[in-house]
Amino acid sequence: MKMASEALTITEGQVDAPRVIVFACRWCALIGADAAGKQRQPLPVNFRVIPVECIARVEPDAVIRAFSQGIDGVAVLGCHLGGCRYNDANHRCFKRLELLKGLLATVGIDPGRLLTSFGTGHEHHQFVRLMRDFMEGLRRLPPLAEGRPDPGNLCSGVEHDDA
Amino acid sequence: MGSEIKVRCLLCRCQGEVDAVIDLKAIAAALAREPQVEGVVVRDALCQGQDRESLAAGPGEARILIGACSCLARGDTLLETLQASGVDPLDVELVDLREGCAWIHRDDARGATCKALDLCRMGLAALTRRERSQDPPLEVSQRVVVLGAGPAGLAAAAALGRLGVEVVLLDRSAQPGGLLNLIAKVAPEDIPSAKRLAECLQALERLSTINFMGAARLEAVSGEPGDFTLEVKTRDELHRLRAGAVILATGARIRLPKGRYRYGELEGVLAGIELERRLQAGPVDTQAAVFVQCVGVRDDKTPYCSTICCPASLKQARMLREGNPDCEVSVLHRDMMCPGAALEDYYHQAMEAGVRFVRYPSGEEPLIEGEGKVRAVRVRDAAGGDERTLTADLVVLSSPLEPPEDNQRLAALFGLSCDPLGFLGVRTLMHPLETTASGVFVCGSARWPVLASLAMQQGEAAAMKAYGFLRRTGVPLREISPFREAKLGHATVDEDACTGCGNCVAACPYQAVRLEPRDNGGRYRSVVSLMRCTGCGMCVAVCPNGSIQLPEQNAALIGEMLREAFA
Repeated sequence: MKMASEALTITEGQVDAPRVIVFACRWCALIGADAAGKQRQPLPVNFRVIPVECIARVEPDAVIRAFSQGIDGVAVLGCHLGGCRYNDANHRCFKRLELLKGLLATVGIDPGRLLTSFGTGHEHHQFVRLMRDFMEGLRRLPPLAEGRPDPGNLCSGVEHDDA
Repeated sequence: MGSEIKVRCLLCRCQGEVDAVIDLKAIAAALAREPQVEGVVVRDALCQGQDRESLAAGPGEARILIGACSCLARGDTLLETLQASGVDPLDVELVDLREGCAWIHRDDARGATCKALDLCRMGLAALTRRERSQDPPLEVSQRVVVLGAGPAGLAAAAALGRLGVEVVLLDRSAQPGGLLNLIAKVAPEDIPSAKRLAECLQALERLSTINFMGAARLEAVSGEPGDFTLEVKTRDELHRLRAGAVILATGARIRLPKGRYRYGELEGVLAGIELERRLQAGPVDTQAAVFVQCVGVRDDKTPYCSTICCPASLKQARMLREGNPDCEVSVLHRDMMCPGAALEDYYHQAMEAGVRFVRYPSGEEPLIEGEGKVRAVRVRDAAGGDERTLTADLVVLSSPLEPPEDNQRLAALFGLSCDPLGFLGVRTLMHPLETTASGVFVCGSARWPVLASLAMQQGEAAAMKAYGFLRRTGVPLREISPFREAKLGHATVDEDACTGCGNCVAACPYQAVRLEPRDNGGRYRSVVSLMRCTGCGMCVAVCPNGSIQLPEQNAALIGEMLREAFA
């Protein structure tokens, strides 16, 4: 590649905390995220959006995996309860994630690190407010891995040596 | 896995909109170092002119990563261009570098560049890990079964018949017509219902592809959307009908005001539908008639407005006045429900014809007076607050519609659910006539009480939906979804890994998963109905061992994206 030589070096792995993964339903929250872009609303840089068909696709495993990789917050944004394209899928997802929040607390992950929001992200200002508030809340929490062993062991089903 | 997959990267400057913030050269350099990347090109504007033409260069071996605007902006156009030149959209990943990055992080160029690279790498991960759902060829049976031969069903059958589609029209009773048989005139058009019915039946007779089957009851449904088998019992025999699509036009049932307003106890207290039958025969002799609206509806037990009773009473009131211009006709109502220009006009016509309207408070039902025979009605006028006594020799209790008791059974046959009131549950939000089962459509009063004219409109609309469904023979399964857009894919079960726990069966919002015994007996495995599956991914999230997956967005893909998110 010609341009490789003149390229700036991108220093990797230096994204400031809180690092946030957003699972966005493509019928709702993704539209909000897109609209925020169209409106050029400034947002902190440290979030990444993963679009999904329906928020019900997000398995608890994926959320835990994100935390185990040191990601500070996971936002799961779906449609209004009762307004799901896929019947009542988002409602069931909501219940499942509420259970997950309880489980997170038992392993020492503040349930506030998992943001679930339904029907509140499909307008640009709503999405922006959700993101800002969520990141603000995460900043106030102590670092994710503080005082605990390698968080990578949280979800991997395989044994690890404690020695 | 995925080592042999090659990816071409196209980055779009968007005429400077993107690279004003993001250092695309650095991104290109970093991407070029990725092992699976075959080449990186930066373009000025992929959606315009030469750059767009270069997109249409035709399919190559490599998958394509596009870093440009969001798919909601111009991304879809790019996809369409690629698709037109023979590229499978599943081989393309759009990474949103404009709305999702450059435009929202303008004050942090370095951060935005890092993010853009991460997003591109997530896109690469998605492209490399993406698999494909199976897509077996689909044959749609070219016949439609219409359940219910009321105005909705008749209109649906006629609309399909005109298109040359084979239709079997079933009805519970031996004669077609439904409620049209029981009423005198159709409101608000004021056409004799016999005439309206005759028109409908004439259309059926002219169209040779429509078969009517009376006194029929649907016993069982099997098969998949596109190829249902319906077991229908008529008086003497059991028929097995194959159908590509089914239209439910089973209507609603008239509720009689049993136990209310001394109905059945006093002479001269009639249900609205009974007055209709008398009016069918000819003018009804009365000196003073009082109509009572909202009988047994809009209360705690039945919290809906049946919508047809106000127009029906207006119609009957006018017919009484026409039969005997000297008679006094009053309508006692809580609110006259006459929405729309036609019904509002209908209400005004009734007022001009001399019908009096008295509004009563919702907590205070009018009292019927008389012994053996009705003498008067006592009502509190909500406007003035005073109590009035209206002499009456005829009291008409309006007849609301309620869901037929068979609805639950019918819904269960198709894997549907009724709404809390008992009508056939339909997602009215975006799909007014579709149900949660592909190939099953609902119209007329089965979904909500409607007047005959609206039922016929809905019937025709449902017919068009069903026609569109039949024409899908040969279309890839992915294109067949209850929604306008294609679905991402279908859930796919790893049969060896599936333990048959049934979590997915319970979780599926579309009843698309079922358990089937394995060959060796004793154990079960999940089987997905590809026609019913909408690709939402609910089952994936509840599977305890990941044996059910959406190949297009499988767990490994999500995991890889998470790993790359802040790499």
